[in-house]
Amino acid sequence: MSITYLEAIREAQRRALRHDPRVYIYGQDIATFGGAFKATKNLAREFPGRVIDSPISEDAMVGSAIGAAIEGMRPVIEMQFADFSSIAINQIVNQAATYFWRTRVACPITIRLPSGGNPGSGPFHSQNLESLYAHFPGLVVMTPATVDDAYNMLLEAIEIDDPVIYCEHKYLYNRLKVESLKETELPPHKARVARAGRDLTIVAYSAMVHESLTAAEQLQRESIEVEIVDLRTVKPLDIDTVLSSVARTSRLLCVGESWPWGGVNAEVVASVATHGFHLLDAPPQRINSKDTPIPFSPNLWSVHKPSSQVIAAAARRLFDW
Amino acid sequence: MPKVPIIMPQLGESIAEATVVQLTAKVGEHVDTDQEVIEVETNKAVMSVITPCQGVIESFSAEVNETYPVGSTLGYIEASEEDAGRLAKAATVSLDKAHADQRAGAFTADAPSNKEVPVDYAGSSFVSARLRARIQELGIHPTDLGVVAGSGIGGRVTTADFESYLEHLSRRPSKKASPMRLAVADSMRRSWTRPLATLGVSVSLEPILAHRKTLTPAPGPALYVAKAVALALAEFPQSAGLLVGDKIFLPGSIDIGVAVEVEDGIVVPVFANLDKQPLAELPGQYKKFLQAAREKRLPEEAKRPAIASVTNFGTLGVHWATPIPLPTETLIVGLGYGEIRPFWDEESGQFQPRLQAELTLSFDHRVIDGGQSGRLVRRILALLADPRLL
Amino acid sequence: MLDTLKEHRGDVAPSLFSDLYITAFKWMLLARITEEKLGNLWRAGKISGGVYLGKGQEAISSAVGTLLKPGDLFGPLIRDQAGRLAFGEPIIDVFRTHFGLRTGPTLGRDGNVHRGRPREGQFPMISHLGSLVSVVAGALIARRFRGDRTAIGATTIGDGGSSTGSFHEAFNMAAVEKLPLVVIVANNRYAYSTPNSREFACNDLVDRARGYGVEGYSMDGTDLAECLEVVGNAIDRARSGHGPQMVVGHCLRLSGHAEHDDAFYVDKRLLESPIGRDCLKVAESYLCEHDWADKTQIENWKKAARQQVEEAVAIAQGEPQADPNEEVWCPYATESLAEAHSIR
Repeated sequence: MSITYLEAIREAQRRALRHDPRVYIYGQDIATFGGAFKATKNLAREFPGRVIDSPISEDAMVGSAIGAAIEGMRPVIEMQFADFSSIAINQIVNQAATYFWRTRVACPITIRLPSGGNPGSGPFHSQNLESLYAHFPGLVVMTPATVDDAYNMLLEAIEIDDPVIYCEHKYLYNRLKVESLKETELPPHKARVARAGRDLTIVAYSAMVHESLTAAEQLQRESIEVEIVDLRTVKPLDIDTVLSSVARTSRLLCVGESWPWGGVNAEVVASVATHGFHLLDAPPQRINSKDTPIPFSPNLWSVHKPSSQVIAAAARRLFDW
Repeated sequence: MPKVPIIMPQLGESIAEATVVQLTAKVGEHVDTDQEVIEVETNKAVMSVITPCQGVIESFSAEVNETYPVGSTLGYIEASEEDAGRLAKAATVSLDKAHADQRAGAFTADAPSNKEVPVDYAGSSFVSARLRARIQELGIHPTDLGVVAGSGIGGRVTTADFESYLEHLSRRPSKKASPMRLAVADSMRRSWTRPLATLGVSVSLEPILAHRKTLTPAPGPALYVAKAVALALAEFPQSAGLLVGDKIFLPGSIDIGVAVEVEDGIVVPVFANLDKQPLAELPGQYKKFLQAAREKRLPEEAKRPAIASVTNFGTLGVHWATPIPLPTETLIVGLGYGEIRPFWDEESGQFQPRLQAELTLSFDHRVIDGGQSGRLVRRILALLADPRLL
Repeated sequence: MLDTLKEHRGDVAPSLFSDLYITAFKWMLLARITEEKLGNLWRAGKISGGVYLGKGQEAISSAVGTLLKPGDLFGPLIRDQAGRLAFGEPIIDVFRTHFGLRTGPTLGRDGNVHRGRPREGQFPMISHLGSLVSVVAGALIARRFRGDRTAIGATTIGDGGSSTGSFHEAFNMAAVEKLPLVVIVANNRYAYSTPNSREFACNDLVDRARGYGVEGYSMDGTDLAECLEVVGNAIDRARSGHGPQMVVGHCLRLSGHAEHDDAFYVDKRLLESPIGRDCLKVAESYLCEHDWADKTQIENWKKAARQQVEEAVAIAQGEPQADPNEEVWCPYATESLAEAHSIR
């Protein structure tokens, strides 16, 4: 009985609703319809009054979650697409993220962001906003890459007392499957070595972990053994695991789907250059999507974001030093 | 008649596949454009796959209750040439070049070996941050890596090369180098960064030997040479200049060193203002320096940087050598082993025996050329030929 | 929470209107005197940043704060000093926050009106107006989940703040959820320098209530008696399940937008019109007319209020400032994340 990445997210929510009376889910089209991607399919029926349809009001969705959290609830907000969360950015970064700092009362909300593109989704249904939210102090930003992490980390997100931006990747929803779920001992803010290697470290997260694994298989045929570090959570960033890996391999390539200026890749490169300069045999490098809005045409889109071939080409160039 | 495929469409965001529920048309049936022919189910809804053009259903490869990915072929329609041609033309952008450009242009830097680089970038002098940290840990200087064979781009020494070199070395016995040895090594390494040239002349030691009988205590030949060098440099100070950037710094005072052998190395005590010191006073001072040097307690004024020095390897039985001036010195004069050799005497028209030695002058060729050094050496020889001038 | 409130509010359930009126009046008085002190401190260079006062709105604000019960929720805004005190805010919080003290509710990390006591039902605001309304609404959702069907939530907003998308989304959503939310719109005629004519096009802000599908009421914001009656009614309506209530109070802003603003743009004719009356003076007259207090008593109350303010200021001025060396520069509440907080 296999389970997909999307089903894992649904099961995590089901478990949370079942075991924690403080949890409720609020979002557009999530009750009867079960959500645009069916992440909450049948949950409204199973837990009456706990899976609630909201108007198209992202600001109020997050604002009300903040109020409910202060009063002891653990709300989960489903944004229909990550792209629409920018409407609520004020509530997220100015109110939720600063709440504990300003009042010493925690704001334990979880906001689910369906992120990343599919062919034809276009500029406003494809965005990856982890770099944006990671910039603001006070937020936790998770980017699960595996079915197990999709399940375990969402449960952790709800448990954490701080506001969590949970970036689930739409491309992985139905394409990633496992036979059965496994629990994990790894705390959500620790990175994981997805593939051990000795020649080069690729730091990636979310869907790019899989692109990197594909690239690694190709490179193995060329006798280059790639180590892949899956960040799992990008804020706070587990730079220690990254540094340990670079200590073994001496070469770093960061791969992310968000835009190039600033962001997760830039943060990893800067941190490694600062704290691990003496570990490097070549300058640290990064690959992002192109610095333009995300194109609609599948042809354009296929070149806009990093692919396994681009990753492999960049990896090979690191041996030119 | 040409065949046009019936394709599983993209039935929604993130849908990867769908299951066939029923076939709502039959093989051989005539169909219109946009006619529903296959019913499929996704996890969201039941939808229909429609025909891309009109024609006759040629075949279905899809089976009921089977699941097919988005983009796969589910069957074929026999269509007109015109329709088939039109559909084939759509969506045929070649992405190969775009993908190749993307691979080439992604946000990574080009290694210097791909471009024209300054001379100190390429080749064995490129030391990565990691390698630099490692050699620093071991107390090794980057220039010491020159002896390590590099297998990296442009002959660079990689971290692996270095570790392999260390591994081979570790199989040999070793002992710790003394501080003296390390100091000499450092000094010689720094000195060697300059282009040094050497010239040699023969000198008769007889005038010196005759003169030293008149002095008590008698100065050794090295002190005669040192005084001669001092006077010559006082006359030609530019020969002891120091080139830094685009300036030649002339000596402030004529300070000459005389090399002394000590345990495991050399010490070069310096005679300050030697051009002004009487030759008769030099042996006493030299004896003090020698004692102090051997006891490792040279006085401060003897440790000042010299502009030139003298070394007497003749005492070791060496005829000829190319000594290396210390980093502060522009030149060094070496005195070789004195022995009786035949010398053509023009006057008597015969070979006469004469006590003779080789004098070698090693100099920083950036500051001094052959002509200048030749002049300097002839002056030194003239002074040594008439030691009363010293 | 009940004890904290009792300690600061004195009487909990005034039974006679006169008692209620006097209680509310005293909060107005204390608020006015507190704010005069704040203005003076600012002009003396003792306060950094802006000082925002609610002169002219004390009746509206005091009515809300006084009528809320223990267990209710309150989201006060910029000009609600009276309501905050009435709801139970200790006066020393005001000065500790404005002085940026480590001992204040924000630990010096936020200032002036951005303070509250969330665990006691008083929510702090942020500068983005309108964004507090959904927070109060969400808190009411939580109460509903916990089976609390008696608490209501009140929040205030100005004519300017009601233009924001944030306000609109929150109000609409509260109406859809039929929450017991009372929103007091204090139309003091100016949002900074922007008059009503540039702020909204409808005839009266209370017209919007119909658009949201909620009950709407108007009141003369300069008249404490009317405020108590109208707000009291709205609170009862909300508490008895009639959904969100919009109450629009009409008054004039009698201070600058902040103390650094001289408000030269205010139409002088408004000052001379009925809404330009000082609600504090109106209430003093009302008290005397109804023989509920005389001038001497009122003067004694003023003296007591002044003394209370001076004491609070003196204590606050003796307390330590926020210290960068002692500051824990970490924004996370979760311990494991605080340890992982690694921006080095």
